[in-house]
Amino acid sequence: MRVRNLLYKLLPLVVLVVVLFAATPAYATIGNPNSIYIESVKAYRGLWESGDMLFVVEYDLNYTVDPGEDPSDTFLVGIWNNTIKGPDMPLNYYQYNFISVYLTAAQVVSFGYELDDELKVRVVGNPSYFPTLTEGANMRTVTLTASNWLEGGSVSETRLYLADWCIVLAGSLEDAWGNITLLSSGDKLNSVGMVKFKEAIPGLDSICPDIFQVASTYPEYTDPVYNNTYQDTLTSREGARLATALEGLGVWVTGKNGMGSVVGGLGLSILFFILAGRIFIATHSVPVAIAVSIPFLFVGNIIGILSLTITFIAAFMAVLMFSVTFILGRFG
Amino acid sequence: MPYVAKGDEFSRVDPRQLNNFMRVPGFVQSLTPTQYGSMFRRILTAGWTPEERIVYDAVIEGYTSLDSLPVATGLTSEQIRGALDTLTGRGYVRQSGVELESKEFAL
Repeated sequence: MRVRNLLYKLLPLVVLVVVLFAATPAYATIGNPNSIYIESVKAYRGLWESGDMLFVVEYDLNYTVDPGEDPSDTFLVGIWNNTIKGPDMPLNYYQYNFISVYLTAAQVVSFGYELDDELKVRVVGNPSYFPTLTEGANMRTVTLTASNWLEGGSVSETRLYLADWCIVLAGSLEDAWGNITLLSSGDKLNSVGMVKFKEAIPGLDSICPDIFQVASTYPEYTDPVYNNTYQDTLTSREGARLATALEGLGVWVTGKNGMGSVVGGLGLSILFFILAGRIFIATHSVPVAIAVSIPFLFVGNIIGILSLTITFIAAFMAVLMFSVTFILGRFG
Repeated sequence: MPYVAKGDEFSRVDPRQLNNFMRVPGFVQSLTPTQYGSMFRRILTAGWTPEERIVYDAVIEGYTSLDSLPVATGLTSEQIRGALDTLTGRGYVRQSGVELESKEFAL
């Protein structure tokens, strides 16, 4: 009886253990490669923007029998600062190939990397597939020295360094891959080379268009920077007496301080509409009334109580109305 | 230029990479039939063992007798037997009497 009670008490625990075992994913494993090497690493600083970093890693992950598992699941290339893991990229391919890891300037700052840092670049198996990671068996580490780092005097000079290295790398890949041609006769990347290099270094064509046999680039455009220098000069012409008078009027009308310019602009507008109204009464023509009155606004600009921006907006509206009523009216 | 053994063409390229290249417009047209055949075989035999590749190449080249295969391939009888069993199972090689016949890949 006591044994049965004990079994009843243990039953939920047994069920829980069974459920937990069933829910635990079983990780697959693959064999270690025949050999794993990092053939070269080049670290560039300042390619797309000042302070960004690009690590170009040439590796050889040799398997006699190509694993069926996707290399992006089983291996990655990453950057380590001593024992602190930094950014990484899953590998696209086994065998002899290359890949890159890019960091924006902001990411570089967040990781705290500097030029000539002795960072470790590592091609390493995914622990889900390789329960034990062993240097030389399923992991290979290269510690960067100053000779691995490249930074020109300017962004364009650093890009030239990368362009030269890409052509060298394409030659090595061609030699190793046999009958696959990546370079054209003029040492430019052909259509196959373009596919390979743009895949390994996304955006390469935007910074090194000259290494491609066929390349397309976007026209460079920089947003113009506007300043309000002249407007500020005009505004400063208001003068102390007029400013004090308008400020006093503003306090008297609204009961608040700092309303002088608003009251001044409002007063000028009232005068503008009175003038426009008088001209309209005399001519019976809206376009003429507006066209003759608009220069009055410039008086406000010159004495500094009306912003030049408002005058231009008003002038634009006047031109628009003139076009609609006068020019389009001729076709009616 | 690294040396590559017969049947090992493109062994230093991941077949996935070759597959990508095959999709580049004009790439296939730029290859000779022999190059295309080797590349296609590399993609198709990606998961084959070296023994299976060597034995298959030898049979294609005309070493169809079981006696000649150890000499042609340099493999032991056990290795050849294992490779042939797999290749036969997959349908790439079949035994006709005492001779072997290979099924060429459709190129």
